[in-house]
Amino acid sequence: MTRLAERPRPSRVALFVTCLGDVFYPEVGEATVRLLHRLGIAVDFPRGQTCCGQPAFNAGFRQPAKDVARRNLVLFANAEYIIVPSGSCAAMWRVFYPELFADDPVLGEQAEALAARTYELAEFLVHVVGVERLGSVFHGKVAYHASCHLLRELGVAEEPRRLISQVEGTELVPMDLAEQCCGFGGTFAVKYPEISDAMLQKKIASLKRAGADTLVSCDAGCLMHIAGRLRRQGETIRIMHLAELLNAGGATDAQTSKI
Amino acid sequence: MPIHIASHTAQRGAAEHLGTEGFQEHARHALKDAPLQQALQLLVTNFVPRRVTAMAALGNAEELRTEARAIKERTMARLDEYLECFATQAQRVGVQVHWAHDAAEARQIITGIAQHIGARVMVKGKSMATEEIHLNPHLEQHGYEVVETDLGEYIIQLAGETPSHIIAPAIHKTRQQIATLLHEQLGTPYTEVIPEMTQIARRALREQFLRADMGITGANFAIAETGSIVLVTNEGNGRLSSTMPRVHVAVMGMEKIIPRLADLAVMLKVLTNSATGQKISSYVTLLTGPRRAHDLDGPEELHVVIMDNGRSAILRSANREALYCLRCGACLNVCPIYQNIGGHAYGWVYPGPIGAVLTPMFTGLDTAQHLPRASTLCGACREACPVKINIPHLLLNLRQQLVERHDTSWAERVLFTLWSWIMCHPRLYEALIRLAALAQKPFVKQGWLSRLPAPFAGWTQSRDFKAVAAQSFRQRWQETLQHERPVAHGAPPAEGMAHE
Amino acid sequence: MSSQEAFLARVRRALHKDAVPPPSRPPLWWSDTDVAEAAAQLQTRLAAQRPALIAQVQQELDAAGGVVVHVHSAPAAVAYITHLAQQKDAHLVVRWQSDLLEAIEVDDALHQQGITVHTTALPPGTVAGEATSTAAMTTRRQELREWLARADLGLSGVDYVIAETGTLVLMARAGQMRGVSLLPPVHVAVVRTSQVIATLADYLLLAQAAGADPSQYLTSCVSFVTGPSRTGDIELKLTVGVHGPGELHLLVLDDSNAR
Repeated sequence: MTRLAERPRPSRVALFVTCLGDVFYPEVGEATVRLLHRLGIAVDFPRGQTCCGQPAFNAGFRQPAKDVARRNLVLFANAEYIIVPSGSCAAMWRVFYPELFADDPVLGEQAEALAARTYELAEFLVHVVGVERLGSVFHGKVAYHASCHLLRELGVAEEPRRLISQVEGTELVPMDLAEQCCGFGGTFAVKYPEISDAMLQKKIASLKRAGADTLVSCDAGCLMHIAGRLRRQGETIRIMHLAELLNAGGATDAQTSKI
Repeated sequence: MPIHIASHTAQRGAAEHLGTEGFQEHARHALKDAPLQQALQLLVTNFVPRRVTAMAALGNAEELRTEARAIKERTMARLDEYLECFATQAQRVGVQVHWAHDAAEARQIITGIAQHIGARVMVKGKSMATEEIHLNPHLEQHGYEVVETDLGEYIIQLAGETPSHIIAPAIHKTRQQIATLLHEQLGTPYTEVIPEMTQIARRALREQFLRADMGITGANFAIAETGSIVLVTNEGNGRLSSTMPRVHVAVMGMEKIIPRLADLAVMLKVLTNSATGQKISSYVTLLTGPRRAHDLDGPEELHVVIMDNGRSAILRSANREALYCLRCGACLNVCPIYQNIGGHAYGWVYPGPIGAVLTPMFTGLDTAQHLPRASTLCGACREACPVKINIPHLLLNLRQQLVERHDTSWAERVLFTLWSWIMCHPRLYEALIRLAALAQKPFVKQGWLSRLPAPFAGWTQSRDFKAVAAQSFRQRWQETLQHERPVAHGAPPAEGMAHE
Repeated sequence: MSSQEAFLARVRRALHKDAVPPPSRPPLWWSDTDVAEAAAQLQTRLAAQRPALIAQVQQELDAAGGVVVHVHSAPAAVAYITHLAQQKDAHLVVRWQSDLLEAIEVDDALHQQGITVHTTALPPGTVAGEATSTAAMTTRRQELREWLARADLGLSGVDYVIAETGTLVLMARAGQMRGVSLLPPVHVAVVRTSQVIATLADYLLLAQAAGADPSQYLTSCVSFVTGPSRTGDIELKLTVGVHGPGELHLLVLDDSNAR
């Protein structure tokens, strides 16, 4: 995605907080709003939002997914920018909404239009707002987990790392299996728990080899999955969403999720 | 001293694939198989970096992949015409072309040829197509002696097993296991030294190449323009199988066609670099007809068996691009699922990500329904694929089909109908979240749940589950966030903020 | 309906075409350059690039496990071959019939060491372009097969060498038997520098420019040989020398000394 150099910095965005964010990690949405405010960007939160439809879509239930997705086409029809603090949800909007509605001339066009205005948080900050340093402060050795949809459906790879490197006090440490799937995969973790766990253990081993005390990612699903295992094992490695890291220190007291 | 192999396969019976229905069990079993796990680690430390390095060294890997995919796309769009052209050109140079609708017909054609020429002994080059049609057991039942000559295939033939990887069929076996196998099956002195084991196999198999009546191979490519077939190998067994016996039979899926001779350059490059990280394999053999009048060796007859066996159904479907597959194995090597469970758990001929697409489409979605589902759709396969097959999207298509055919539990159907209803009614959704936050309280410890009820219990087998937040985001929005304001636009930026 | 017709009809139906193809269809081949002209231009380019290409052959075939030796005269080539044969304790050598191998007069040198040399020539009395008696060919093929099965060393020329990958191009035809580069444990090939080309694509172009029809420009078997035979089938450990030769030696002979 290229920098929209000619356009002025956005003054107003709409937030799609995601169902996982809403229900399990409200601090992520909170941090997102606050860091956008620090950048002088106003945030709308269309209250009718619920979910992007991904769980149903991934399970093969396209009709329920469409029913849910259609609402978002309407709810966010007038938003100039839609910010999604989740790689997988942003991918659902950008990559799969056009596919879901490909057979419908009207909705198909709406889905394409919506997709063009949808941004995952890190790519929005780096390419649309044009900032990498937000004045955040966080002391720690941070490893970055590159969530799969963000990396491979949206092609966002370096942006989160650049943002992390610009946090004062943070050391970004390389993790050899950073781009390896953590084994979440939505219902996969429930349906195929042993395989999921085997993948998760390899991820955690890599995390430990990196010598990090904190793991940062852009997807709450992955974080939930990894954190759940770390907690079961009694580990003290902290899990944070990128939004929380970028909102740390400075002018606010965003609560970070700790194990 | 020559090493004679009697009909060793007849002694142990045909190797059987595990079947797709027991996927969960086979996967669990594989996860606990320590030697297998060790062997699978080799993929990560060996195959993957080799491919990555090789592709990077090309300098134009992206363009090559795009071009290779375009060639395949073009070919599939007019496959009937290219097949016809291939047949005409091949026949012009003396190839006997056979058309097999399905596996049974393919087997029949091959035994027909064998009978016609009075064959008794066959040597085989590595061919997934012949695995697909279950050829060896069929030939043995009809009294033929079949010897696999690719080292990996030879090893698993001796072991009575099926291949677990497209490129390295015996990757699941340790050298100790192979040493024992050779010693017990061939009576040669026990050795774990790999070059020595290889030489034992060479001596044993050289005899077979010289006495075989028929050589059976696959074909990596078939060129419509010239009627040629191409074998891509490293060991030399493909060359020997197609040169020494008086009849050579090549079995191939109809999707192996490429249009022009010139296309071979691109296709070969992406294939070898992706499969083993080699710029080119040790041997590439371009065969255009059987031997000619003044050739001093080569087969008298060259037969090409072109197989459909379910490919036309794939061609018709939304998953047509699965036919672009070059059988390089790159997707297997990067797949975190395959890396953990190995090839046998997939239950049939084709393992890994491409197997998760092909197996249900070839053998039936109803019995193979775990395969499209046992994936996190991470996309590493697509990234590694030399022809950019969008495997995650193909798996999603198959999942959709499973739902449309009602191959899902009624519980799941009810669940998603309910889910959709809730998600379309935000007030209801909000109420349910508040309810959940309350109801979970007795079970929550420090923000986590250690046990979930069925059907979600799988999660908490090995992980804690995050508790619903006491106050959801939308509650916080309602109460505080919506009243907060952005820093005034144009006001001096907060300390430390800078534009890039 | 023949089995070909039935087979293709099924494919056509899968492609949503009519079962019987229309009489006129767009051409199967998209437009291409004039092959003869392209080939001529290629030859000119190659001549200019030759020194670099020769260096590349060395590098690539070395990396693939072959042995590349530059020789500046026929006697030097012969000396290498006889020395190698001695090293290998060879008793029987089978070689291609080729002008280059005749010209370097290798047979005498080998004979002097008590090594038997057989040449894969057509039966005596064969006239090029005319059919040979079946009986004569059968006998000839049989005896050559037996010699090759026992040979210690195979000696051939090449049709081309591809610099990009260090690949020998060996076209089976009268005098150029497939088995020479396949059955014996050691294969030695002699190439003139003028036979070096850059890429596989070059070979394919030059081949097509050489004849009107595939049966003319492609012989029954074109072997592309890059190094000795190899496998990684046991624990992915590279082992050289499986079914094909375990050693490949390429003697690069400066053109000006060969006739």
